[in-house]
Amino acid sequence: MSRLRRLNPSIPVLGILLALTAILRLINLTGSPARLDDEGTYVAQAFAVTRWGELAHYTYWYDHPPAGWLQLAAWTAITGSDFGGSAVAAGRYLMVVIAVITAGLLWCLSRRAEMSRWASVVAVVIYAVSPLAISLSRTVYLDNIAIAWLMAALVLICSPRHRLSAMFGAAACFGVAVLTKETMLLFVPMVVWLVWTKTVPATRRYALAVFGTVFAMVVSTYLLMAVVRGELVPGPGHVSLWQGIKFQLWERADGGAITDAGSLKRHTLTEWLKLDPALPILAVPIAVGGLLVERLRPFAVGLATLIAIIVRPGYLPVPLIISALPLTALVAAGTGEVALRHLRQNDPSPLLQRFRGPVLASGALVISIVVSLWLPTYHEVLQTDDDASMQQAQRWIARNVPKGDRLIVDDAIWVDLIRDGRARRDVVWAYKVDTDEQVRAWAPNGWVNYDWVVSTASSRANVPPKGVLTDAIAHAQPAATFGSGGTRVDVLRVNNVAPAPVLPAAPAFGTQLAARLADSANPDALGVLQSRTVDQRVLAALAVICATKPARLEAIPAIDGEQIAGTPRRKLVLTGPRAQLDDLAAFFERQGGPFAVESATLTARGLEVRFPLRVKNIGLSTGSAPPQGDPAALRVADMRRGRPVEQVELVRIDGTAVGSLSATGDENPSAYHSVPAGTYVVATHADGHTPVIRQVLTLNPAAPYTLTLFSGADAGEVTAQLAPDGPPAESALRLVNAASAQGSVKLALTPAAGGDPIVLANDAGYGLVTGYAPLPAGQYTAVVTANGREWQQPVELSGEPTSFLLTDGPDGPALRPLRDVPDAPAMLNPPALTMPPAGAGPPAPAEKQHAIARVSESALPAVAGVCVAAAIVALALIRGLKGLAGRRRGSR
Amino acid sequence: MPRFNRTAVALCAVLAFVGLVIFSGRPFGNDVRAGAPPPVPASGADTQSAEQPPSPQFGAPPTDSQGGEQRSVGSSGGALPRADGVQAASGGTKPQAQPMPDPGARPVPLPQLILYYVLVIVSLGLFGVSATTLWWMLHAWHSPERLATTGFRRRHAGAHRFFSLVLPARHEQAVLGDTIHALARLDHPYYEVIVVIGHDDPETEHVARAAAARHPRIVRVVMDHNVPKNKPKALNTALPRCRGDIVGVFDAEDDVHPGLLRLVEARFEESGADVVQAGVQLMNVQTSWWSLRNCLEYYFWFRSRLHFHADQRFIPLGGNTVFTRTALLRRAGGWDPHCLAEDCEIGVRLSTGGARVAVAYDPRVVTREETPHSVKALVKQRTRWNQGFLQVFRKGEWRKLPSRRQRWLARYTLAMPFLQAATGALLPLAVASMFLLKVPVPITLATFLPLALMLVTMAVEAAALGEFGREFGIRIRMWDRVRLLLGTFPYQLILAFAALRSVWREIRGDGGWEKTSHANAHRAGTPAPRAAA
Repeated sequence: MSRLRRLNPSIPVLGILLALTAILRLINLTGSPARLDDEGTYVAQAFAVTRWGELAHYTYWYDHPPAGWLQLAAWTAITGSDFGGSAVAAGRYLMVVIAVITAGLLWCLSRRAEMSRWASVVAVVIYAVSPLAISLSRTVYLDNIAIAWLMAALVLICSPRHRLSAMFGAAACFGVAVLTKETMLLFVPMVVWLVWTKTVPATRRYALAVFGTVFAMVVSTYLLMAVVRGELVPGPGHVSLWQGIKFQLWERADGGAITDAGSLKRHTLTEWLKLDPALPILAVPIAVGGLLVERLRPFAVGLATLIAIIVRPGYLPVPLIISALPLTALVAAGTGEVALRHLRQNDPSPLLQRFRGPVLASGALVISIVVSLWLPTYHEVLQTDDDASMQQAQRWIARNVPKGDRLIVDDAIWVDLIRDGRARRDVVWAYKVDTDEQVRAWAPNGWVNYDWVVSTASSRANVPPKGVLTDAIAHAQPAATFGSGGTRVDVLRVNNVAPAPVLPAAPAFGTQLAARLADSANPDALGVLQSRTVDQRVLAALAVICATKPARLEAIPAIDGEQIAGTPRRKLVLTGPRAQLDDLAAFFERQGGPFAVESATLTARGLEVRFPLRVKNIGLSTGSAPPQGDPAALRVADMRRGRPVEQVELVRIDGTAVGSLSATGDENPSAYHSVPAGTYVVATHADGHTPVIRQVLTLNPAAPYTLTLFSGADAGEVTAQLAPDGPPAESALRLVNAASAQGSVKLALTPAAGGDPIVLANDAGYGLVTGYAPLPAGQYTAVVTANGREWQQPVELSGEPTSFLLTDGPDGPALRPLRDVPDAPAMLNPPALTMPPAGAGPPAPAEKQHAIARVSESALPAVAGVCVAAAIVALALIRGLKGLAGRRRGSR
Repeated sequence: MPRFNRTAVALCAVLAFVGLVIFSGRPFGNDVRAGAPPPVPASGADTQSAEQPPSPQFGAPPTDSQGGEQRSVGSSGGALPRADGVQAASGGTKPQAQPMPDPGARPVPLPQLILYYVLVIVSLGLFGVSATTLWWMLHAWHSPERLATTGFRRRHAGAHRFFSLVLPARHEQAVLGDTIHALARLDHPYYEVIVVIGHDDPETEHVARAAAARHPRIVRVVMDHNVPKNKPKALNTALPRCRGDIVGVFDAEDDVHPGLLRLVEARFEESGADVVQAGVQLMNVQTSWWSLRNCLEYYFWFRSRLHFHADQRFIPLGGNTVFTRTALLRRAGGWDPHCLAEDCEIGVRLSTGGARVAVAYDPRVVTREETPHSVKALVKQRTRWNQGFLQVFRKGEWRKLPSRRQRWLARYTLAMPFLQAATGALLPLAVASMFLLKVPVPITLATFLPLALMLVTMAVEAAALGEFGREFGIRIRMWDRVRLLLGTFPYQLILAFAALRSVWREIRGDGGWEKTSHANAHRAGTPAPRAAA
């Protein structure tokens, strides 16, 4: 019991207050307030630091010093970017920890400002319980982090033993606070005043010298960083620190007057008052009262400076009130304590005696009014889920927006979309669409280059009057809408695709296929197959199935509503043994690109396969009976990254497997093979794996062709091009560009005998197959320019059609001339197309894995983590306070 | 400046700040489009996109006969035409080059990696040395209580002790007479002054005997017949002749305060120490830029750092105004006759033996001295001290200290002159590397740390200069402060040179005593009359 008696009685009290702070902020953490653009920006910048080592997810333009999101990055490096369900939620957990630390520091500061224990309790309770404080201190704002550092600096400055080491620490903390949010510079008068009054004259000059220089050194690391990056002063082609400072100080939109009902500033103030009708207004009399109490005067000056900023004409940042909250609580509690002490004097003057009653009564009235004003807002802060619509929108996007599409989004969901597997260029923050030239360069055609726009309340409020974003929204239509009113989230689809008619398959192909399927299909289905109402993809899929593992075609049903619109039938039903249907289902799941299925499910009827509603011609819309004549010649060039070992299988449209070719090892492109003329479905497959349908091609008699395979944007996606090789006996040249490492290339030929270089291609990208240009035969020097470097190579043009194949060599692009003349085409390799059993296929492509791998977070580890953090902070404060109590007791 | 003016200036500054903040909304009434963020220019790698007109074109490019999308069959931009008759089926996406390269994917080549490590380690080392130097420099001002402990708290002792003041002098005929007269008139009833003169020094002997003749009861002259001569040998000659309980050592040019002995014996009594080191201060701040820094060095050393070492029970004593109990000195065997820094050596030996040392500094009773006359003399003095430190280190008495922490502190303290010199001399290299070398930003910030600490140290020195001026009644002008700051690096170079010279001499075994000469500059134009303490 004696140990408990020796324990500082502040400890349990402080522990309860910190727990109160934490609990009030943890309840409904993700629900209210709704995720803001700013929060997403800070979290995205922290993500960029951890993922790519860059200071921001777009070009860092010195709008705020980066210390704030560097701390956020440290936190997410420990907890993971998905803690709490989304990136912003992970940041909010850090904010809760910081709020607990701020509350603890507020306690220490009020005790060091010679306030009694009860007054300190009131100060921390005000900070913990005010709905404005709850809501704003769990939002991911840099001000929250900065104010915690500022409080630490103030606590250190008020060191009771006037230690110099405390001055070092205070200057460093204040420097970090300024580097986290530059508006902390507004507190310089308050801090300087405190440093002056809280130091004794004997050591004051050293304290000031140390404080001033350490603070200057910490802040100058920011300037040093700008200098080292060469971005201190404005110059061509780079951002600058000076421009960032100029923007923040002078070029921000004027908020208007506070009395003007329609101004931005009034709107901001209304937002604050909606959350807490009492505290922002009471801050003014509290500041005035604080100026009258000598030991609270510096804090009141700081508060008054903030109030002056809010009231003055000019820009008002929304989170500015965060800096005012702890100070308001401190000054309110301190002033109240002083007033109460005066009123409860044992020997009052007659004036005071007369007014004692009314003053106490009015004080109690004010407090009860404040509490009653707070109570209704708790419902919104602690219970409403304002984030539901954004979460629903996110889920919809994950399921329905293809991975290669470009989206313009609100920054609040930027990180989550990137972590979902989208490319960095495909998810564009709305704010940057018109202001960042790098982003504009990614979309050279303006709004046409964007496919989707996600519009939320904050992005709707900040659309510029004209520009690409406005055009994109004007040309877009809602594809999905979630929520309503202030939390409405629209997902708009931009109409950038020309509406081309959806062409059904030509009956000629259907007839050929029906002939093969005659004895293993439902006659009705066969009839539909030969009509002009079947989607081309159905035909191609049936041809491949027929060649590998024939199943019974049960039906090709129409979907309600689409028959009348004339949409080709995109659904088919197959029956057969269960195992076979499982294999076919796996086969359909494996398809991608234009042949991707919307669903392939096993029902009572059999295997129902449904293709998505796509506007794509794959080459089966016009056709006739198989052409007669000499066989064509075909070779394949596999230009994909990562060269998987695969064979290219040809299946005639009537369902017969004709043969295979491969371009493996040194023979890339392969030699010409002789293929009978006709229409074929091309599928690639590796040994033992499911084949993937790539393309439908039509070969004319006696014509040479080259089939080139390029990698698409996503892993596993393939772009195939079948190019007819040039007219014979003519000296002509074309380019096949498969060099991706250096970006776009320029190819020029200089005749060896001298003369002007002929620029064959300027800015040729990966995947380009050009037409033929006539060139006289002879010796040339080929010059390939890419990425600022040049490679030269002597080439000889014979009088035959030649293709220049550009690939990635060890030292840059390598040029290889290919003869486009089929001298003696070999026979096709025998067909090796098989449908492996389900489960033998390679793992599902990467983009699906991202959707599956999202682990749902339960709140329990999160709460446990925060409690541990709060306990550690409390223990640290215990040690400090115990020392303080010991010294106090010793000096008594 | 009267306090009123200072307050008015502060008030104006605050009002200006508030005005700036309030009116920062519209400073010049310019026509900049408000609210628009500055356009962010594209950086480097992406500017090679083709020159496409930004006007949006509705609709897809024309499709070719076979129905393939022509987007995948692009134009070359050069002489090669668009391909004709291509059948292409992309997945709706264009064939794309590799995704944006991962910026962190390139491994750092080994020489560069070694450079980074070297930079970081050297910067951290410099930072550590600078940090400990700064921390020890500020030891006295750490808190008001500690500042109070650095002075003489008790003003009178209960009982008087008998002091023997030893005054070794060699070729000091210019200053010795005044010093002996001052010493003979101290405010204390029981003390004697023993002047030690070399047998080959007739001029000084003449002055000494003349002065001794005027104060026969207090001053005695003792002849030192050792060859070769140095200070510890002189002191050891005097030690057997001392009659007092406490032996005090003074230099021939010292300007001693009359009330010093009373305060010292009060300090002995209140602290129960075996050794009391009182303050020594160089006074001629305005003679030259390096004398200014030299004086400040002494100020920090006696005001602050010595107190730290006393607290740590390992103290390199000064050779001047230091008072030791005679019995302890005799038991320890006197001073080491072969050491160039005999004061440091005796301090180490006594500390290792467990003696308690008390340091006290009061600006009013500090012993006043002067700096060496020239840079050359300064270099010789520092060489001697540094070499002495090296000799103490090599002698190894400090190894007898009880705890490992004390032994490491001893090593660090004895190595400090060399480390400090190295730090000061390497600093421009750190500054240059910060701006010239292309290293990642975090490493640049690491190399900035020692420079930042150096700037903090300079600010503290400027503050101390002001305090020095106030305590000693010397007027410090802005020009003095500028000279102080500008002289930082050259002074470090001088010290570094002296350190190197001392190492060189020690390696060569050259242990000769290079004496500094004095010319009484600190007494000419003494600023304020010395009031009795």
